[in-house]
Amino acid sequence: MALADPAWIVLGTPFRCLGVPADARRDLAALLQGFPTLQPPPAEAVALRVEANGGGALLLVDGQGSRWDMAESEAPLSSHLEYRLIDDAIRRAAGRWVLHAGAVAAPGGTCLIVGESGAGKTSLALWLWTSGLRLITDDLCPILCGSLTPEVFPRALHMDADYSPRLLARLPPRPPSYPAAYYPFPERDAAPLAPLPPITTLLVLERGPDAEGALELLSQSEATHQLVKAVIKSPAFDFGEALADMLRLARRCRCYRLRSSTPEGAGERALAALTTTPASAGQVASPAA
Amino acid sequence: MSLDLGTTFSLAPGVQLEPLGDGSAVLYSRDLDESLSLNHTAALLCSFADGQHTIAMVVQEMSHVFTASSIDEDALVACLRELADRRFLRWR
Repeated sequence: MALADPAWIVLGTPFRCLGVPADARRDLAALLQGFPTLQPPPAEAVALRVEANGGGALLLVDGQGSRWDMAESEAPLSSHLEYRLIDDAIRRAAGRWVLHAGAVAAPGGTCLIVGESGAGKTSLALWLWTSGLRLITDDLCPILCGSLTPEVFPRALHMDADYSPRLLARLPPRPPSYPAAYYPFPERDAAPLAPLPPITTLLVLERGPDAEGALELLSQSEATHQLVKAVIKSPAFDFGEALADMLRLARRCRCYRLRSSTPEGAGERALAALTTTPASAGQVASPAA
Repeated sequence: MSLDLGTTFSLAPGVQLEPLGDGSAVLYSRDLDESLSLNHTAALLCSFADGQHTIAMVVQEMSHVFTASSIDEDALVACLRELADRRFLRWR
């Protein structure tokens, strides 16, 4: 008898996926390979189910009981499952803020990258990773409430957008059988190493007029505003608690707006700022020339 | 409401001023579940929202801080009006 699929632990919640056809199971396991697993799955694991919907169509039912008709979707089932599982995990996340943010570990501490959708957070995070910094996340960054410690979020990198050829040329080859439009989270960075360094830098990424990246010092109040905006508002979201933690985070960070018209410009500018001697946490440093 | 230089103002109930180390500040309203990001000047202005300082006194206080430039009373009052309109401040 074959072993059951494991439960994946995402943001502290164990999840299992039931009724998934074999090809989608393989792809789903690849997409979630960075997350820790439990085998056998615990009884309390939240179940996402794939059910027959008549005529060979499939229905996806998530842990909240919401249903999606897969016949209406162009995306592969594995992609849908991964997305719904992560979404459900964020809703259930306890004791963590989950920010729409990229993050890397730099010599002076963890750097958070926030910005509007399409600003280039993933490109910048990947540029910094391929420059030698540890990738923490390209998209969603969990931060423990209270201690404000960041956590690695080893989600597969969703690379369905057009990326700079210079960035793509820096990435290691994609495993041949890996699901299309995704790239595996780097294994060495997903592995639990020493605790991540505290967050000491915030970059607010924006498209700018010049190819070369330009850094502008941000006030701590503006940094607080950007951090609160980046927090995903789950059903249990409490604005006052989030604000209190983001105020504390802004107080200890160097905060910059980074503008560039190219991912290369943003990447090189950020790299220069992150690999030069940092100011002490809590101080505001002048932007490098 | 018509304002004169003798008008005083205070933070609305449930509003908290969070000063930050670089001179900026955040105003948080528990009732509205909203926050505002204040630059150095607006943060300083709100620090006088104690129901005791009149607008005239605030102008004088701020002229001691910003010695190089004259204080634009109209801009200051416009900022206070906006905060009052957004229910972060009330007139006394």
